[in-house]
Parts: sequence; C-alpha cells; structure tokens
Amino acid sequence: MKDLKTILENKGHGILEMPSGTGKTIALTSLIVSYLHSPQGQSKHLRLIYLTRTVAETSKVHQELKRVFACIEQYENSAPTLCCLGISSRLNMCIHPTVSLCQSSPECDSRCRDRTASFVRDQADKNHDIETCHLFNEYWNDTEKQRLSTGVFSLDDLKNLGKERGICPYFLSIKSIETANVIVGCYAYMLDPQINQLIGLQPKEHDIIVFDEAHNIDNSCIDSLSAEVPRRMLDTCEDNIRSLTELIHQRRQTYIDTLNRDRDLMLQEIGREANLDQTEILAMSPYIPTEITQRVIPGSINNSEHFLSFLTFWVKYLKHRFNDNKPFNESPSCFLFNFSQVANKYNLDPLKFLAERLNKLFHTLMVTNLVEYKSLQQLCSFAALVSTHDEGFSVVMEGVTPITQQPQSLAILANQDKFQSTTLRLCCHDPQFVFRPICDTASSVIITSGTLSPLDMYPRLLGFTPVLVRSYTMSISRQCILPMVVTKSPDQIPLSTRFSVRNDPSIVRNFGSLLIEVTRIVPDGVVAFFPSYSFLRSILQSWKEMGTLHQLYNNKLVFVETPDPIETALALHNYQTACDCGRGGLFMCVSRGKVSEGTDSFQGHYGRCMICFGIPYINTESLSLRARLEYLRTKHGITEKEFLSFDAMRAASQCMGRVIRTKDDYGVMIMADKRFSLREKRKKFPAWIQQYLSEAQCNLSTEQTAGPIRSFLRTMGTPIPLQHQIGQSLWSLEHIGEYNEKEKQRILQEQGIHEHI
Amino acid sequence: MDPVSWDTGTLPWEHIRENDDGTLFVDASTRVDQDFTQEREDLGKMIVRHMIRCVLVILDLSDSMEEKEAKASNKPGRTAFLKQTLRAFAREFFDQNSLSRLGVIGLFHSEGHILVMPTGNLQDILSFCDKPLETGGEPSIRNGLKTAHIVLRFIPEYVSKEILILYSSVRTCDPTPIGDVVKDLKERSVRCFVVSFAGELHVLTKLALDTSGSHHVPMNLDVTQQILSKFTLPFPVDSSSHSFTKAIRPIPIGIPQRSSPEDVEDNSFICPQCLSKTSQPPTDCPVCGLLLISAHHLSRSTQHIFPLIAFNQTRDVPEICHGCTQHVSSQFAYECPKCQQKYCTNCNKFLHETLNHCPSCPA
Repeated sequence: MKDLKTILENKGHGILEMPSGTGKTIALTSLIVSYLHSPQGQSKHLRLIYLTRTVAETSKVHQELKRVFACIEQYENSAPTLCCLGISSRLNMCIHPTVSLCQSSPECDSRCRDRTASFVRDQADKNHDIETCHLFNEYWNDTEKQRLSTGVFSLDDLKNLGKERGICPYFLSIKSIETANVIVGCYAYMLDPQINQLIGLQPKEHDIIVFDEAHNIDNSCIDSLSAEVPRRMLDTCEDNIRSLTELIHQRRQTYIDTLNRDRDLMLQEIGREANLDQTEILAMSPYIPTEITQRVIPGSINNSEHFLSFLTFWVKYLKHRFNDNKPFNESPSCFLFNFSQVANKYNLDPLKFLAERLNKLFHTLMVTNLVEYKSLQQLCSFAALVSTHDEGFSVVMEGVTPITQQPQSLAILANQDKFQSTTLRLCCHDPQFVFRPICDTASSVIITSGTLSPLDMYPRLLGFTPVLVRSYTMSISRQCILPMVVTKSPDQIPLSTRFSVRNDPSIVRNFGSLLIEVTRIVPDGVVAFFPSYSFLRSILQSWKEMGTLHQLYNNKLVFVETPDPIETALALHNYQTACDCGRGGLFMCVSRGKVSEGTDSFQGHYGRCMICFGIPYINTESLSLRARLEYLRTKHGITEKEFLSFDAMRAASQCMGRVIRTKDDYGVMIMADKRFSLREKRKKFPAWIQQYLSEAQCNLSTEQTAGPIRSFLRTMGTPIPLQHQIGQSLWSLEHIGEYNEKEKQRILQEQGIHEHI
Repeated sequence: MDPVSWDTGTLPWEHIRENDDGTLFVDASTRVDQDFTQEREDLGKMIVRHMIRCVLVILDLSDSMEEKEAKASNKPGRTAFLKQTLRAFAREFFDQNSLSRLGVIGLFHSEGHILVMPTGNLQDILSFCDKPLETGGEPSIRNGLKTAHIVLRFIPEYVSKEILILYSSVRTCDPTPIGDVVKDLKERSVRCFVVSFAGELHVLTKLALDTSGSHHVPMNLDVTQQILSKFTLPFPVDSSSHSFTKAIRPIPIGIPQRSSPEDVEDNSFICPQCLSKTSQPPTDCPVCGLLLISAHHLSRSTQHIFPLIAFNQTRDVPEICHGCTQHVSSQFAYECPKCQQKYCTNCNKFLHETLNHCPSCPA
C-alpha cells in the first residue's frame, strides 16, 4: 500500500506482482478510492479506471468497491460523494424483453440498433408500425432520468435501476462515463481504439488506470491492432457486395434522392463528431491517425457504384494472393506495392477510407442488420489498417496446407480445415502503439497480476518507465503451496519436452507414471498442463497404448481440453461435478489455452495439484511470431531467446498460479522438466513461488514426490483457527498502530545514523 | 512414540526437544492440546448434552488399506493401525458413555457392510478387532451412509445419532452427488464426523459441514487419538435445533435388583416393571422392553451434563484429607464450595476425573 501511494504521488507508472487471492483488489481499490475521496483528490477531479479481463472479474471488483464504500461511510459517517460505474457490452446490459434473449454479442448489438438508430426513430415517428425500444425512448426523452447519484453501481445494479426507471441501462452507463469517478470495465474499453472511440473513454490527464490480471497485456495490445482475413471471408464479402449492389438498384428505383443525398453528405463533410451521436455509429472505424481522418474522402469512391467496384477489385486481388498458396511475410508497403502493380488504374489512396465510406453507405441505405455485413466491415478495416500503418507491422499469409500426395480421410481434412484454414493476417508487433498514448496522458498506470515475473520485461515491451516495480511475497500464516521441480525418472532419465525428445517412449512413460503416482495421492481435482494440443494428442495416444490411461482412469476421471470452447466448457463442468462427488477428476489442458488463464475454475478442491509437463514455449514455426521476434530484436534489442523464455515462463507460472485463489486455498505445484531446475529459469518465477521453492525440491525424481505431497496434504487438511492468522495475514487496528510505531522508530534511527555521519 | 504411526513423513526423534534445564521431552503438537483443554473447561458451563448416544463407526476398508509407503514398509500397516485406534476409542467411549451404543460399518468392494450391529457391550467391539478384516475394492461413501441410515432408522428419537467416518482413500466410487443421502441424514438429525487420513476430501468436508459435524486430518497417531478422544465426550445439543425439543424428554428407565443379593457369582437381575429375569445391565428388558441400567451407569452418564464443580484452592491446609484420610503433604488443599470439606491434590483429581461426585455432599 505504501508503495502504491508512492506511485500515485509521483504520478508515475507501476508494476506490482502479488499472489492472487491475497486481497490485491481490495488493497488497490481502498487506497485509490480514499485518495479520490480526499479533498486533494476531489479538487483535481481524479478518476480511477479499473480494467479487468472478464465480466465475472468486473463484478468481483464491484463487490470489493462496495465494501470499501461501506467502510468509509462507517468511519466518516457520510457516504463518499463518488460515483462508481460498471460498463459492459449490450449483451450483458440489455433489459429489453426480446433483445436481451440474444445469445451472441454482435446479434444483440444489431437488434438493438434496429430499434434505436436515429433513422429508425425518425421513421417510427411517421410510421407507428416500426418497432422501437421503449426503454431507449424513455432514456432519450427524459434527461432527468439520465442522471446517476453517487454510490456503487455494478452491472446488476444498473440493470435494476434501469428496470425501476424504465430506461436503458446500456446508454445510461455510456452517458455516465463523463461524470463517474470510478469506472470498472474490461480491457477492450481502453486498449481497443475502436471501442475506445465509440464510447468516448479516452484517458485524461488526471486518470489513474489499473490493469488487473495484466500478465498478457502486451498480447491484448497487439490483438487490438491486428486484423485477419480468412479465406472463407472473401466469399461472403463477394456476396455482401452483390447484395449491396442490388439494394442500391432497388433504392434508386424507389427513392431517387437517396444516392444524391449520400453524395451530398460526402461533399458537405459535416464534422463527424457533431453529426454522429452514439446510436448512429454503426460500425467501429479502425484506429487511424487523426491527420488522415480529417482529410476528405477521395472523389474516386464517392459514388457508391464506384466504391463497390473498387471493393470488388480489392477482394479479387486478395483472392488472387490466396490462390498462390504460398506462405509469405511482407511489410505492408511491400504488400501495397504489389497491389498497385496489378491495379494500375486505381490510386492507392482510397484504401484508407474504405471503412469510413462503408459506414456512410450503410447510413444512407439505412442498413441495420450489420451482422450480415460483418465480414465486409472486417475486410474494409483490414484495408484501412494495411494502408495506414507501416513500421512495426507485417502482412503474413499462414496456415497454407501443402498439397499432399497420399490420400487422407475426410475427417482429417475437415479437421484441418477447421483449425488451420489459410489466413491473411496483418500483425502488429509492437504493443507500444496502443499503450504509449495511454501512459503519456494518464497520471498513473498500474499494472498488476499474480504472475508478472520477470518484472523488468514489461516496461521494455510496453515502452514506459515505471516509478516502482515490486514483487510481493505471501503473508499467509502457513505454507499453502508446495512447488516441486521433477527432473528425472527413477532410472535417472532426464525428463524434458524438448521437441527432439518429447516423443521418446521412455519419457512418455515416465510422465505417465508421475501422473499415476500423483493422482493416487492427491484427493479431488488434479490439473495437468501440456505445452500444445498436438503434444497432448500424441501423448494420450501413446498412453492409451501403454495402458497408462486405464490406470489413470482407476484413480480419477479424465477430462481433456479441446480447441473447441463449448466442448471444453462442458468438460470443465463435468470435471467439477466429478470433484464434487468425491470421485476425483484429472483435467488435461494446454497452457495458454482458455482454461489456463483467468477464471476461478480451479479454486479450492477443484485444483489441489497442478502439474506442468515441460516448458510451454510458443511454436516458433509460426510466421507471425517470427516476424514479431525479428522486430523486437531490431527495434527494442530484445533477443529472440530472451523473449521466448520470458513468454514460456510467464505461461508456466500462469498455469501454476491457478492453484491458489483464496486465502484458505492450498495446493501442490509440480513442474516436470529438466530445464525448470536451471537457476536462470527458476529466477523467472514470481517471488511468492520462489519463496517456497527450496533447493531440496528442485531436483526430484518421479517417485520422490509422493512423500512430501502426502505430508503437505495432511498438514494443510487441518483448518487453521482464526486466531492463528491474526497478526500474520489479518491485522487489527492495534497491529497497524504497532507497525506504524516500529516504522517511525526505524526511520528515526536511520535519520540519526545519517546525522551522525 | 508408538511404532504404529500413520505413514508420518516426520520421524519420531524429530519431536524430541531439549528443555532449559537439559532434560529431554517429546514436543507433541501443541495446537490440539490447547483445543482439548478448552473443551474440558467448557464442561463447567451449563450445556444441554445427550445422555444416550448411538455412534456408528464407518471404516474405509478399501484397497487403500493395502497401500504402504516406502518409508513405512517395516510397520504393521494401516489395518493394524485402524484396529488399534478403534480398540482404544471403544474403551474410552464406553468408559465415558456407559449407556451408549457403538456399531461398525466397513466399506469394501463398493458396498457398505454392517460389521458390528450397535451394541452396548465393549467385548463385542474388542472381539471384532481381534478377527482379521476383509479389505479390498473401492470405497463408496454413498453406500456406507445409506447402510448407516438404515441402521439408525430404528434408534429412538431421544438418542443422539452420530456417524464417525475413518477414511483413508482419496476418492469414492460414487457416480452421483450424495446430496440426497445427506438430506435424509439431516432429517433424522444425524451428525457426521470425519477423520480423513489421506488429506482433505471435499465431499467429506462438505458432509461434515452440512450435518453440523467436524472434519479432521490428523498428522500422526498422537493427534488421531486426541481427536478421537474428543468424540468420546457427548457433544452439546444446539438449543435452537429441531432435536433440542426431542432431547429434553423423560425416558422410562428401570434400575433392576439382583435376583439373589447374597450370591455374588449369580449375574441375573430382576426387571422392576415386569419382574422377569434379565442379564446384567445396561440392557433392554427382553419382556417389556424397558431400559435397565444401574445407578452407577446413571451417574457416569450424567457426569457430562452435571459435572462436579471446581473446588477452591486454599492455603489453609488441614491435617488429614477428608477423602483418603491421609496426611496432606502439599502446600495447597482443595475445598468443596458446598460442604467446605478439604481434599488433597490427588483426591481432588480423582473426584473430578473419575468419581464426579463429592462424597461428603448429599446427593
């Protein structure tokens, strides 16, 4: 907390690593909220933006905030005059009787627009048959109801409020962003420039921005600026263009002015911001530097027919590149140069404005069901991004399936098609593009997570200089984790998942026997992490042949993660039921998979033991990764090896971090790879894991694990009475007083020494 | 330190510590000790407790019993340990609760088998412990609880019904959640206590929590015995619970007389209600079904409900102790607050821990 105050007062940025479940959130929020609440904070109009990864985490933050507010109220006899707000997508916020039934986010968005877009409302005024959203109308007409009082409003609170007042909670929350003091939301609201623009949540001078669970923040930054075009999308684009052309023809016959009006709109070039209110932004325009957006859309695509024909040409060109069936890696300018070679009759300039123009067209044609035209929008934003960015980006064609000679079964072909269809990708290599503007404007940016080690990497990747970098150890009264590094089998064969040896039968067998041993001893849930899906598949195959799987099945029910999210969710659910029943479960999953990060799916008895087989290096064969590595080396001086091992250890400690979710939780961590025992690798683990990882536990063989695990589980099984925790992980007011006294004395002593010198 | 210890990872000599004056002593786990003395102190307060209990011990006799840890290979094994534990528990249990009953259920081959029907006779349990046990297969918590439920169904309402599970596996073979069985048990106000040797198993923790019992994971033999000796004392009745009203109710009992008072060898008694001949109390009259006990049993059973109040320590030491009529050598004596008689330290201990009754006070 004291460190946090230093960060705030110095207006700098910080990186904090604290083990999960030890009150990270409450420590951050309580201090910042009190800081906001103080007269000093209020006079400066400070604002806290708290960003988490998932919606579930958002609601947890709200619960914590409510407790903080209640606490302040208790001590000062007055509720803080702060407004705390949660934001989320329409899917999570909508309370309209029919729209809220939608399952997917884009569907929900588009059906909302069907009812709330400005032209729909205009038409509804004339023609009462057109359905509008009564909640939105109420919101729009009554400005009194748009106001939010002070207090904490979580998503559910906003929904209830919306029902009470009969107004739309989504628009209410968007509206209140300007006035709120504390905003809780997902990463995308800050990192993704498209969404950011849409709702107007720009970082301001006095903002304090907290990124929670931010171990993958560089990847989220990159993702928000990357675009991809899969092969199949081009076909749907062609369909879209065709239907648009038809639509234009139709309209021309029935409603002649439309297109004139369209052109008028173009030529007038009314200020975009003034013209478009929140409801009228039909699609998110991609992130483009302002100097370009302020220029007028070139005349060559002003006419809607010309525009569509240009689009057709662009699609054709891309198809042509796909037909080459060769993986390539080019810089955007090179890619565009190739295009201009083919397209000598077109100027390249219009590419930059495709997305903009498409939005205008949709607006004039009054198209509301944007779900259908989603692929066309994606294509246009791809074009716009390709043409505007150059340095730090590259265009990569990946997943090309070589034409094989031997016949393959249909199932395998379908499988390949599903998971590795040919994709044209625009990759951003530098998270700084997104992150630096945020750091430059906001007064403090705090990045925090359970697993951020090695800490010095983040400032280099994200391009900012932190005031403070700190990794905290655990302050729980007992040793609640048991990390162990298993390096060899009983017959002294080193265990490793190095690519050259990973399919060696003896290693596969030894991994199997380790897993059998562990499942026999550990009650309830055991989770095993593998470096990749392909390795998981092959090892399962060999275990089946060896009979290992059968033995595992005697001990625990076995569940396997697949790349399909629905299948995985089902497996996870059944795994949890198995743990609840007492039968016990073994969940095999892939590090970096969906299961391995976020979500408290392995808390308590659902995950008593985590086993990490091998160091999860990323697949270096991927072209986009290679391009990124090269960029990092040339631009930031981070060598390939450095980044790869950073990334692998980050993934590994992320997997291990699943084990502890709350204060009373405990669990075993087993890292099964020879390479984990290297000092250089071990140093990259978070401090709270290193704290318990003694030399003796770093070089164990498979059968040596049983003893420590047994005695550990027995020690942990006895619940600790509360009074043992007091003074260690729970402090009463007296403890804090004592601590302050001690600190004061220490500082006085130090000063005394200085004076003496 | 006992040679039979449950696969402890620690070694016996690691517990030996040196005192300030250089003498050696065994450093037992102090945490459990504290709780235990606390329990004893709580005895002084007015708490409603059950007088008659029926406890079913569920033993996990699955294939996990045959498992041995490398370190413990020279030790007698888990079955022997379990028998020894059970024997010690039964002795202490009948000593503290002379009217109560104890039964044993074994879990093996995925079924719950009744090994000893609830009995008031210590000998039944001890002779069971001498026989070899059948083990093997998988344990099923569900079937064990179901069997226990069937047994406990015929126990009258005023009896406190308890299940003590000694579990050593890390799994069960139940395919479905045991929620419905737990609900049945709760309706009959059965309390489940779990001692899990292999670590915390969630389903058992939850079972104990739901039935207002407790869950323990012992580190070694000492702790196991301390935990089990806690079970020998009847648990306080939650005065807000449903079973509270049922617990406070007159129970018909008879105190039988010897059929031939002059013949000590003859162990037959006469039921005061129907005057038929019965065996040694405690027992049910075979004719009229009346519960027959002796006065000694009654006083031993009520000791937990009406414990002997603590005597005041005084420096006013008398010549002769009122209890043992011996010369008092210590500096302190203990005075009964009711009759003002003074006792020596040994007698004080004897009165409080064994007799539970001040001999000079009128009953």
